[in-house]
Formats: sequence, structure tokens, C-alpha cells
Amino acid sequence: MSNTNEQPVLKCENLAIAYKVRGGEIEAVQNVSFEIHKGETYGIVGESGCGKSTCAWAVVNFLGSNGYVKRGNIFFQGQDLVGKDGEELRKLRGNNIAMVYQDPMQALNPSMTIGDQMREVLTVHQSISEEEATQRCIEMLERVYMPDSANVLKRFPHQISGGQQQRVVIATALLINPSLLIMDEPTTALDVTVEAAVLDLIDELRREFDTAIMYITHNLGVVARVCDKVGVMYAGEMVERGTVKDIFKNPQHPYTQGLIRAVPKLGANKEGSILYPIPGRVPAPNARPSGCMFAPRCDYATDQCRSDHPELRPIGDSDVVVRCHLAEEIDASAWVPGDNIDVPDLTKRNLDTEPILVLDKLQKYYDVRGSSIRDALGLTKKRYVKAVEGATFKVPKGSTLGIVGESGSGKSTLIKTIIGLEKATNGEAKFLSFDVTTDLSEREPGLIQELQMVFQNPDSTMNPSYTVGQQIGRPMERFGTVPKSEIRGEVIKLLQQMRLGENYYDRLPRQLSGGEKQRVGIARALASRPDVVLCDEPVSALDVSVQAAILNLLLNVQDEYKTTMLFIAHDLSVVRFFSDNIAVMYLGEVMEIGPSESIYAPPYHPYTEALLSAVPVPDPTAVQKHIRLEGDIPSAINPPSGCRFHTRCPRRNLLPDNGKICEEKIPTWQEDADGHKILCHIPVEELATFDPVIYVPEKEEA
Amino acid sequence: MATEKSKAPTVWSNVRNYMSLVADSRIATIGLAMVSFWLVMGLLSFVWTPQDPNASIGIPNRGPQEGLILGTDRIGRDTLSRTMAGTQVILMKTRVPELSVGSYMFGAAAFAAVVLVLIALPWASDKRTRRKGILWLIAAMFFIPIANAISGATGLNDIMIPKYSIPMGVAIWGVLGSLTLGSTLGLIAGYRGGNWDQVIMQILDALIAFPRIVLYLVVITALGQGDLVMIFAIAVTGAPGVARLARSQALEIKQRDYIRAAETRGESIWYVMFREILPNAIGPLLVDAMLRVGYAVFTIGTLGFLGRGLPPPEPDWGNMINLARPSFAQAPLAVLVPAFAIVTLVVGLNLFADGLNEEITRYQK
Ligand SMILES: Nc1ncnc2c1ncn2[C@@H]1O[C@H](COP(=O)(O)OP(=O)(O)O)[C@@H](O)[C@H]1O
Ligand code: SF4
Ligand code: SF4
Ligand SMILES: [Mg+2]
Repeated sequence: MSNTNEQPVLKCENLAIAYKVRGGEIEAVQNVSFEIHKGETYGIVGESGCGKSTCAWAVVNFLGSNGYVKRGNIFFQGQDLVGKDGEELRKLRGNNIAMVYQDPMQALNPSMTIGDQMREVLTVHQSISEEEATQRCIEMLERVYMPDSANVLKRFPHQISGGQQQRVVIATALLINPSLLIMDEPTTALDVTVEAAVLDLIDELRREFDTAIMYITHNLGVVARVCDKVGVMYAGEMVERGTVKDIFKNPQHPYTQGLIRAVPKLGANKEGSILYPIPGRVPAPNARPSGCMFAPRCDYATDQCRSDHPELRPIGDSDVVVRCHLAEEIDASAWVPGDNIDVPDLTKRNLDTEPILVLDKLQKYYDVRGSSIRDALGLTKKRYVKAVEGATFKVPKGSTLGIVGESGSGKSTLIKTIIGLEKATNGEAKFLSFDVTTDLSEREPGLIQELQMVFQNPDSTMNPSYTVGQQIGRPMERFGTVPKSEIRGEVIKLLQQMRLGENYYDRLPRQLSGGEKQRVGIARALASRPDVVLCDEPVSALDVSVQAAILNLLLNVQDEYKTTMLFIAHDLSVVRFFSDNIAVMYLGEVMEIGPSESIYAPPYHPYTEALLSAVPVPDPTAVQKHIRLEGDIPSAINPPSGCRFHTRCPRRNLLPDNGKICEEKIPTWQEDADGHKILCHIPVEELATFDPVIYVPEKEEA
Repeated sequence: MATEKSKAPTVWSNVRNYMSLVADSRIATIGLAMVSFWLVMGLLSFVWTPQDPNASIGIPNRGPQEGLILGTDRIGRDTLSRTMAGTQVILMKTRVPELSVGSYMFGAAAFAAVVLVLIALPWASDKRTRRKGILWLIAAMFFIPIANAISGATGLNDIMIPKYSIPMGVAIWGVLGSLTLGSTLGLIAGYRGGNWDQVIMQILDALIAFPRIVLYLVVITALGQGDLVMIFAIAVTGAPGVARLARSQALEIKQRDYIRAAETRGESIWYVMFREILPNAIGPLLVDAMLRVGYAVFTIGTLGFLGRGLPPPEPDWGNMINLARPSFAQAPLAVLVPAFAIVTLVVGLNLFADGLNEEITRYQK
């Protein structure tokens, strides 16, 4: 491990960064100090708006025209970067700092091929032949597990998937072999499977190239997997700092404790997977409290907390430093959820067994329309994206079905078809006695009203031109579920159920945070009193601390209205505690379906097993099976023959002939107990002998 | 219980929102000042001008003199008064000539037919309302023949209604016309996509392919000079450009989840286009409209210069330049002053639109 006596690669000291705005300035970051050594991965965690990215931008001098370092120093390899002008900075930093952003398209030029962009990085700084540059690019792409690297070089950024784009950006960053690599939420927009591969890669890099890595995220689970040390930021300040081991074993700051409780866990049982949100939200930089910044959200706040601003101080004899007056007195293990957060009731609900939604071999193909004249004249063979194939299941009334799978597995298409945004190509789908293979234009208002949807992206779920009240009121008005004069009262009631006060009625979307917008989206979906609510990843664009609140809210609402829910998530850790049943989809097909507990324990479908092994677990002591899927999800235009998973299946070698049968024959459903079904050639008895994916050793102290 | 309506932030509140941005941009403020100058001049000219703009009161082709600060034109009219009053026909009033009741019926029928087509097209593009839409489209075809038949049979063609003026000038009405026409077509093309998009845009592109001034000349030659004809010409030639902008806005906005939410509520195509998409597209459309008023002023000037502009006797800047041109050497001001008026108004509108646009895009960041 790193040698602390040697000069750190990056050292920030009492950093304060301010942005000039109309009528003054805001200090986005204050009192931040940390150092990163060679071969070390340093995690910076905290919710959105805590100043993490600002710190990173300060290091690369990318603060924009109105941002500047107000106090403190940034030493890069011993030299202070603050106050140096552009040319000098470039010399100091040389080609030694690289940065990877959350959105890969921010770093890629849409009008240049990937090969040109990557080669440019090499040829600009060194004299190197075109072929040699190409060779090095290919090697680097292979290091980041890019399938078909040579070909990828010839493509344009929009011709590859988001996960692949991010890998290109990372490979490009590595080409220059930087001594410092800054990664700002590099995996937040990616699938867990891709995220797992990227995190493995980061770990490898650090070991192999001795790169110092600054890793920014809002998810402590990710930190546990890749980082050595971590700094927790809250409202612009560093509030706790130490090694990952110490911090996870014994988090000192109430905020750190809250972040850990908010991360989905894949522990041994359902209760262990309940998420606890942190109530409230990060104060805006100009509205920070005078005492402890965290006091308004802290369960332990005292009068002293509210008046005196705590300083960072060491705790005991560990390396941990914490900014809390009461660090020694707080016992995190004794924490119980307060009244200010909703906690779901996990007592087994009495479910109707009567199904409300019945799908039978439901199929949705999209036409692939070429743009050539031959296509227009219908001269080419018709091609289809086989987005959903043979979906067959029943959803009992009042229950929740979680649907999980990588992006491109057809989850969204499935629910779009059920709700009528798309017309089914084939098969049957019935909601009660109504046919729902039709699209919306053929449905009666009475049916439309019963199926409503909650969307993924908080920034586009609300129409920016209308107030919260108008948007929630509209379904009531449209379907006439509430007399006109009572709409306002009804909307306010819904708002209160969403834990938003009456004062939100007249607000516009731009005045709301992401989590609040999602709450409004849920209220709007519930406004027509639908029987079924379809949720398309409603929390995946939110910070972990907010996710929990939204999920718990949905669950309570469901209890009250007896709504049936279909809930899409790309990650098995999120759906566990509130799904009654879970379906795992891969490339348009359901691979495994059953009562939720049966999904998390052997027998697993090999794909489910791989998904589980990819979830970041916020516990550095947990032992998790290491299964990584090779390559990307194949094209849905020409899905693999036989079992669609055979091109990536890590378990087919258990079958004779390295699973030849998987390529040739479509597997049949094997039923375990309780309606748990698996689509695989491997006998379910054999699948049942696998070890659980996650094993948490008993804590010694307990 | 309180009443249901909160202040509805629809199209209007968005407009207000953008207006508040003007103050933040120096360019927009300068532009607004230039435009306001002519607005004030024009309004003032309704109640007071130094001289009667249409009367020959001085010696022709003279430079500045007492009572005639900017000199006179070829027939001795006051250049200053005429330039002030020249704002009227462009921005402030439209002259409706003496027409027969029959012509009014024709106009009303044509107008109603266009409105009906605009309403029915979206219906026709939606499966749920297709039948109704097509019926209305067919009905619209009969409006003009029926109106003509009635007025022919009843002798309404012989009853004349004297001329009068309506508020707002030719440039404004014309641009409003292209805005209505263009944004409806653009929204259908963008939101519906597919064949609707292809057909609508192909037709509009064909229109764009003509040089603008030729289009104007064709319309004016066919229908004769007049304020109403000019409005029609501005509306038709401007519509394709507006449609393109509206379409690109719709293409982007229709991806948003709130449009999915409206669809899963089974909202009508009209509701989605005009209540969900339009309020969010209105900003860029208005900025564009501002520029279009500028183009229109310029085009009216050009046509006036070619002797095909707005009809006399009310002054119009292009016409003034045209009339004074032969005697430019003796009385340059009679040419330069109206030219200056056109330039400042057009540049002012451009600055205003540009500054506003800049401020909007910054605001979106
Ligand atoms: N409108 C569309 N036209 C063509 N292909 C589509 C369309 N929507 C989705 N697809 C394709 O369908 C497949 C399933 O996508 P989707 O349902 O979005 O998956 P998920 O929700 O799991 O990410 C993908 O191959 C995707 O590219
Ligand atoms: S100082 Fe007080 S308010 Fe702040 S985190 Fe510690 S206990 Fe909570
Ligand atoms: S059928 Fe074969 S390829 Fe498919 S999941 Fe089972 S073992 Fe893997
Ligand atoms: Mg999706």
C-alpha cells in the first residue's frame, strides 16, 4: 500500500471555492482538506449539491468564468496550482491529470470517430506513428473490456451504447498514463453489470499503474468496493475522513451513518434490505445554518450543535477525523428510525390471489426502418427489434411485481405495451377482462384511467410550464373522478400524502428538487385512482439518500390504495424489500420469476446470479462472488439462438459439451417451489447447490 | 374551500418570464429602446405631427427650413411628419378598403376555411378523431364556393361597406398569421412524425425554395396592392420558416416524459400540441417572430421601393424612398430619413431578439 511519507500526488489544504453570482458570491466549498497518494483510490462522497464536483473542477481549473479558489491550496506533486495562470498551469500539470465525467458525451466529440479522438490524445503530445497510435488505442480499449475494439475505433460516439462510451472515455484518459485520475460519478448512469466491470478496472489500474485516483460518488456502496480512503462531504465541508475500513466499521458522523443506512444492501434477509432515507435536504450555499451544517437533519442535534460550528478533529487513536461535537457519545448501532421518516411495514400482506393482470406470450417487435430508398419501397427484408418476446405471467391484485434487468432487456417496452404507448405485436394481455394489447388510441377512457405510470427522469417528468397543483389536478379533471370544485382539496390531500405541504401547490417544477419532482410525478399517477401503477425506474436518477424516501413512500401509498404495481429497476438490491414477486428479464425474455425471496437465494438463474454479484455492497467485509459478464447485451434484432443468454452465460460450462444445448434449444421453464420459475437447461436441483452470492461474516463484537 | 384556479402560468406567464429577461441584457435593452422610439413616434403621429403628412405645404425638394426641420419631398410634403406617420401602416393600423358585402363574405369564408383546416388537420392525424377531422376538411372545401354562390345570388356584391382601419399594422398581422399557420403545421409535423411530417415539410420546403421577394411579387400582382394582401403575403411566405422552428421544438419536447404522461391520460392531440408542447416552445417562437417583424418591415420597404408596396396616400417608408429617389441630389434627406427609419427599426428588432435569445439560452443552463 502507499507510503505516507512520500509526497502526495494531490493535496488540498483548507480549500474554499466560490462562485460569483448576481448580487454577491456563494462559497460552494469550504474547509476541505485531503491528500491522495500514489496508487491510492480516494473516495469523495456526499449527496448532490455538497460540492464534490466543484472540488474536482478546481483541481483541473475548470470552474468556469465565475468560479475561483478563494482560500487554501491545491498541491499537485508538491507544486501549488492556485493562483497560477493558464500557461503555467498547463506546464505544471503537463499531461498528468485526466478527468472522467458522469456523462460520457461531455467528453466525446460527436462529429469525430472514436479512433480519431483517441489517437489525437497520443499524437498531440508525442511523435508517434498513426499505426502505433491505433495499436495502443486498441490495446487500451481491450483493457477496459471493450468488445470488438478495432471496429469501435471506426464508429462515432452515438453509434455505441452509453456503457461503451464511458469505457472509451476511461480508456482515453488512461492513454496518457496520468498520475492523477479524477472520476466524477463515472458509473452513475451505467448498468450495475457495467458498473461492476468499470469498478474492477479502476482497482486494476491503481494496482498496475500506481495511479492516484479521486473517485466522486453519492453511493457509499461503490466506495466500499473500490476505495482505500474516503472523505465525506456535506454542504461544502469535509465532515469525516479516514480509511474505508474504519469508516464502514465505525462511522462517526451522523451524516456518514445516514448515508450508509440509505444504500441498498443485499444482506441475508428482507429486513436487512430496508432503506432508510436521510430526512430533509442539503441546504443551499446561501442558506446554510450557522452552527453544524447538518444540525437541521441530525437526529442527535443539541443546542450547542445549532450555535457552534464544529471543527474537524481526530477521534481516539485511529486516523479518522470527524466534524461533530458529539462523535464520542453517538452510538450508531442504537439508532432507530425517527418519526420524520417513513418506514415500510414488512408484515406479510394478505394478497389476493386473484390476478389483475394476465400476460400470455406477449410480444412486441419494433420495425427497423432503414433510410434508403430500397427500404422505403419495401425491397429489403423487413427487420425487427425483438424488444419483448413471450412474456407470460400473472400479477395478483394489490401486489408489486419488480422487473429487473440490464438496459436493453425490454423492461420499458414491456410496460409501455401494457399501458398502451405501444401496440403489442402478438400474444395476449388482459387487465381484468379488458384487452390491453391495443394502444391508447383504441382504449376507452375508463380503461386508460385505471393504468397510470411513474417515469424515470425527474427533470422531464413534469411540464415546466404548469404548477404542481395544475399537473396533479389535470387527471382528476380529465377523468372527472373529482367534482371540479373539490379538485384543489383533493390535490392538497395527495400532496400531503407525498409529504409535500400545501405550499407546493403553486410552485413550478424548476423550484423543486429531483426527489420532490418524483413525488409530484407519483401524485399525478395516483390522481385518477388507478388500479395499476407502472413505475419505470422512478428512483434510478436520484441520490441514494432520496431513493429510500421515494420507495418507502410508494410502498405506503400502495398499502393505502391497494394499488397493484409494476416496478422496473436495473438493480436487484432496490426492489427486494417491497416486491412481492420479481421477474428478471434478459434481451426481451423473462428468465426467472417468482416470489421475491426466492430470487435472492439459490437456485438462481445464471443471469440473476451475475446481476446479484454486480451489486455494490456497502460493507467492505462482505464476501461477494465475483462473476462478470463478458461483452455487451447482444442486438435484439438478431437475438442469439436457443437460450438468449448463451453468449454471455458463465454457467453453461456445467452442461455437457460446454453447453452446446444452450445454443441449439430454447430451454423450458423449470418450476421450483411456490411458483418460482427458472428458464434454463441446468436442472434446478443443480442450480440449488450454488453458494449464495453474498456472504457476510458475523461481526466479532456482536 | 378556496377557489380552484391558481394563477395559470400558461403561454402568457412564459411570455412575461421572457420579458423580465430583457432587462438583463444590454443588447436587448438597446434594441428595445430603438423599437420603442419608433413606437412612440408612430403613436404620437396619430395625435400630432409637425405638419399634415399628406399635404403639400412647402417648396418641393428643399433641405431643412423653419417649420420643416428635415426638409420636403418632391411635392413639398414634410419629410419628418411623413416619416413619423410611416410607422402607422407598418406597426399600428391596417386599412381595410371599401369592399362589398360579398367580398366580406368571401374573406370570411376563406378565413373560416383556413381556420377549419388548421383545427381539423391535427384531428385527422390522430386515429381517435380521424373521421371527424376528414369530414371537417371536406366541409372546409365548400366554404368559398358556398359564400360566392350566396353573395352572387342575393346581390350582396353590390352593397358596399366604406373603408376603415383596424388596430395593429401590416407587419404585425402578417407575422401573427405566419405564426399561427406555421406553428400549427410545424407542431403536427414534429409531434405526429412519419408521413405527416414528410408531406407537410415537403410542401413547405417547396414554398421556401422560391426567392422570397418573387413570392411577394406574385401574390401582389395576382391580388393587387393593399394592406390585406400584404398581410396575406407576409403570412404565407413566413409560415414555412416558423413551421421548421416549431417542428424542431416539437421533436425535442415530445421526447419528454410529461408528454408520455399526457398520452397515458388519453389527452387529445390538440391538448398535447397546444397545452403541453406549445407553452414550452413559445419562447424561441416569439424571439423568431420578433426577427420576422423586422424582415417584414424590410420587405415592405423593398416592395415600396419597387412601387409594389402599400397603397397611397398614407406614407410608407419604402414608397417615400422610391418617390424621392429621382431628386436625391437636391433633397438627400427625403431619401435618407426614411431609409434611416427602416434601418433603425429593423436593427432594433434584431438586437432585441438576439439579446433576448442569448439571455434565454443562458437562463436554461
Ligand atoms: N421506439 C423504439 N424503436 C426501436 N427500438 C426500440 C424502441 N424502444 C426500445 N427499443 C429497443 O428495444 C429494446 C428494449 O429496450 P427497453 O425496453 O428500453 O429496455 P430497458 O427498459 O430494459 O432498458 C432495445 O434493444 C431498444 O433499443
Ligand atoms: S455536531 Fe451535532 S448536529 Fe452536527 S452532526 Fe454532530 S451531533 Fe449532529
Ligand atoms: S440455458 Fe444455458 S446459456 Fe441459458 S442460462 Fe442456462 S446454462 Fe446459461
Ligand atoms: Mg429503460
